Amino acid sequence: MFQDDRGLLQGTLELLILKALSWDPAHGYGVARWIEGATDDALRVEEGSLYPALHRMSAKGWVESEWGVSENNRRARFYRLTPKGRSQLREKTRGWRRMVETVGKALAAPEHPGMEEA
Amino acid sequence: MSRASGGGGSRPPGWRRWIRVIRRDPMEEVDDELRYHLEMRVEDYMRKGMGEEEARAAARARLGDLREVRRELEGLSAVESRVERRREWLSEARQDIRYGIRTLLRSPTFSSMAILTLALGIGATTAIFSLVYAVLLAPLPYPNPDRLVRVWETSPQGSIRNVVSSGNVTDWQERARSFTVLGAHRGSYSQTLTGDGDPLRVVTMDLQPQVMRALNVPPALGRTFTERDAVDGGVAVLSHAFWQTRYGGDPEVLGRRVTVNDLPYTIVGVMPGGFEFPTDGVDFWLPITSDGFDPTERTSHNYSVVARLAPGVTVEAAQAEMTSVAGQIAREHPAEMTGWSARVVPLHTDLTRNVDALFWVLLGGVVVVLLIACGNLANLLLARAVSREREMAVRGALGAGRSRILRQLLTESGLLAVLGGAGALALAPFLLRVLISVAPGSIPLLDRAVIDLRMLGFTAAAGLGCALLFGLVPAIRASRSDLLSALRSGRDASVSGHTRLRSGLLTIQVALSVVLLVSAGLFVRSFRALQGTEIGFDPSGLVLMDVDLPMERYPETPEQVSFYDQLLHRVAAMPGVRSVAGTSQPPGSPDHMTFSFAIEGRVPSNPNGREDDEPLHAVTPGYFETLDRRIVRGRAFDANDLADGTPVVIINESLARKHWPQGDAVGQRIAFRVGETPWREIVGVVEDARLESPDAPQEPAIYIPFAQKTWTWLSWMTVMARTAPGTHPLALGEGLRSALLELDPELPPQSITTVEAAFRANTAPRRFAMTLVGGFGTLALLLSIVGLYGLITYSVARQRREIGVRIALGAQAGNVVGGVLKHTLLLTLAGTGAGVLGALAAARFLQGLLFGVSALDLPTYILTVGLVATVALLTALLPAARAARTDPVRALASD
Repeated sequence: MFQDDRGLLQGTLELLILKALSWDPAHGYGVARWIEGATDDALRVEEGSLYPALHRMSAKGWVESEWGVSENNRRARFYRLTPKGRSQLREKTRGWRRMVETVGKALAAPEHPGMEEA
Repeated sequence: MSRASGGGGSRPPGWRRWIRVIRRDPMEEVDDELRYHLEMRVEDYMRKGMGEEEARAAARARLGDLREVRRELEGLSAVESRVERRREWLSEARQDIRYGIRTLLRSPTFSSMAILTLALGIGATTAIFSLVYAVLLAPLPYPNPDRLVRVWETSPQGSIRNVVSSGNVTDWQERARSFTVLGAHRGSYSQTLTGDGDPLRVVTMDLQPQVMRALNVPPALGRTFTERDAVDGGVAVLSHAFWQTRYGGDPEVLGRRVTVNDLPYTIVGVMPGGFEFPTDGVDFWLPITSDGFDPTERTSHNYSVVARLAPGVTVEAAQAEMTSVAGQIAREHPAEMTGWSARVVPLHTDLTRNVDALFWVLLGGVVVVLLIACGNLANLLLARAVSREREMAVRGALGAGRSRILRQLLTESGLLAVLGGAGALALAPFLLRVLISVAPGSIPLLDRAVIDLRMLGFTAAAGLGCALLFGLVPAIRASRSDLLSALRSGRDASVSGHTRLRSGLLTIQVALSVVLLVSAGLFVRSFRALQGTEIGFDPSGLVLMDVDLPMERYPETPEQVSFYDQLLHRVAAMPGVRSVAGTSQPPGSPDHMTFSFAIEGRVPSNPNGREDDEPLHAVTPGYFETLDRRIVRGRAFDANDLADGTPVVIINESLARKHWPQGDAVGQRIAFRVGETPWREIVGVVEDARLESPDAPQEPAIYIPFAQKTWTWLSWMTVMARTAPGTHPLALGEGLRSALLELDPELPPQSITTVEAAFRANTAPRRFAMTLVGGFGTLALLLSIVGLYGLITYSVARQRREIGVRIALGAQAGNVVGGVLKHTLLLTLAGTGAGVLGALAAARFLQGLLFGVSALDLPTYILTVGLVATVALLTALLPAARAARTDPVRALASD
């Protein structure tokens, strides 16, 4: 759905990752699975793009990572939300809601009479 | 949908406990991460019933373009790992600091002593450095001050800083191309300001307009001097301080008329605050006018010269040109100028010539004390490092790298240094105030010394240097410690190595102490020599009052003589005065009036038909008696040596030896101006006296009766009163002043001084050097003793078991004590030996500062070495005796 639109995808992806990590630290695959489950797999996120996003967020100080042992006893890198990341989550959620509302309102308006002629 | 049902995200067990020990290649980690993802996805798909091949392909597809993702991650991971490293470093530093603080708090005595030592050491170093900076390093307060130079004459008698004749100044100004401007000025002197409120003594300085142009400081108000002023005169420029105190900073001060020594001046300018020339204390600058400046005069040397180098001209180039110009002048005026040349020297160098060496020696001294203090700290930290060896070994075994341990130990010494540095900053302004208050007032530019940002930088650098010095050695030592042996034995393994290192440190400390103590000893001996100098007169109880009769009201010698006659009579009648006399040259003052002369019936020694210039004193009868000076041949002046009497002169022994080595001076005749003045008969020879200062060179001198002087301009006189025993010299002050005012109420009040005070001021730099270097030496010795005591106590404690065994095997107490003393003796010998070599090397810096003693003075060296060795052995005796009493059973049972 968002595959053609990297800019919009990027912001949305980051928001989803923040949300995914808001409960507990998780490794990349865990985040992917959470997004898949939470969206009923409707977004079909290209999973490869998850990792650059995670690393970018780590550079921005929204998440921290550390190597640990996964539930099946294998080495995996775990990501965790920083306080800065948590406040980003709140802010981005608000922003998303406002955008949906605004765009929704705009789409609900009657069509411009001159549209067809243009 | 609950998050727990998602396959990959359950809470990792022991999340925080996992510490990454080694740093890996970030791309390896990226690959690990992606591989993990793929494997998990494949397992997931296979659980949902796909075949392995199919699952693998699906997982790949789901991940997207793997190569693209990797490339993107590669770029990101570089940024990330930088961030990561910084964060890690910071957290480790935080850890180290916390740990360091805990360690310092665990041994509060050690910590507070260390911090105090450092605070004092760095504080004192900072304070002295700020003096050195203010006086020697900071540029002078003029624009482009490094282009300003002085030009002196050099005389055939060997003076390299001779004041210049007006003829030479004129020729230099016309011929020298090395300077954009060159100007002459006189010394500052005290004059009377009248016609504007009460009469007041002011300090004035006469200068050519060129001097102000060379200095190039714009006035705060009005203007400085122009070429016109050199013709017309009658104008004055005020100092900022005088403008403030006398005129309250009134901007309307320009155009005001004042009278200085009965001559009228109009104020045309005010210099800005902070402007000083040549040093502070001048109230008025007045122009030298051409009618008082004879462009042909070669024999009267009166002026100091300041010049600004032309762009691109070096001091050396200017010197070369001036040497050739002076050569020309000497060829043109062979009679007066043969043997004379010129010398160019930077203004700053010239100004600080007397304190340059002293200040560097003081800075060197305080740095040496700081080094010794650092040595003590290093020694203490080394001792502590031994007891912490096991701790370090364990930390090493747990994966802390050597650099990590090194950093942690350095953090500890860094903490000490930071705290010590902070203490130093608090102390430095106080120490600086003390230093300035005890420093001799004659040191120029001292008032500029402040603890400012620059000094802060110096303190920080000193603290850092200290931390490295006393922290690095023990830290490297500790981080290199052998893990196995440390764990196995817990002690002894590397103890001997430590002791060797500590002994080495201590040897250096002893050596440095010896250097300082030898220097201190030399300064003390200099000062003793100074006090023991035969000065040839008795300075005690001599009160001085300068009187300067204005030429306008006392133009002729008879009026001047009669005024001073009355004044001296009044003073003689005052209670508490034993005797009184007047002189043109007060004791304790460096000003000389010199004259050349001719000897009757002799071929002159110089081509100008004269003998060398010699200091001349015009004195009243009673002068020699008042000073308690012995006439060795002939007679003193008496009341009959008046203007109409036979012209007479008395010379001192130095002059008699110089010209009449056979001892037949009395009865010979000399003249100051051939043909103009009748010959003056030498009626007496007086014993030499060091009138200026005990450390001034002994010079020839000529004395004439004040009443027989032939120069009307010599209108000043210093009244010298010898007080009767029991009278405080300065108690005479009021009486002297009122005696003066009764005779002439328009003369301003005079300052009253004593010869002893003047002598104290003149010898103040030596006392200052002696006190400070002596203090440094004492501190150095104390610090070294503390260090030595610590080392010996420690090594005895370490060898307790061994000593116990030896005692159990029948060693006598004496042997044990002997062993400890032998160690001390070896250390002391090595230290003092190196110290003596160091002191010999330092000697050439010291020689110029010493008086009456050689920098290689053998007794000083022997005494110092003896003192250090004695003190060292006494220090070792206590722990040695304790070692001898070691109970073998207890010693072996412990540990």
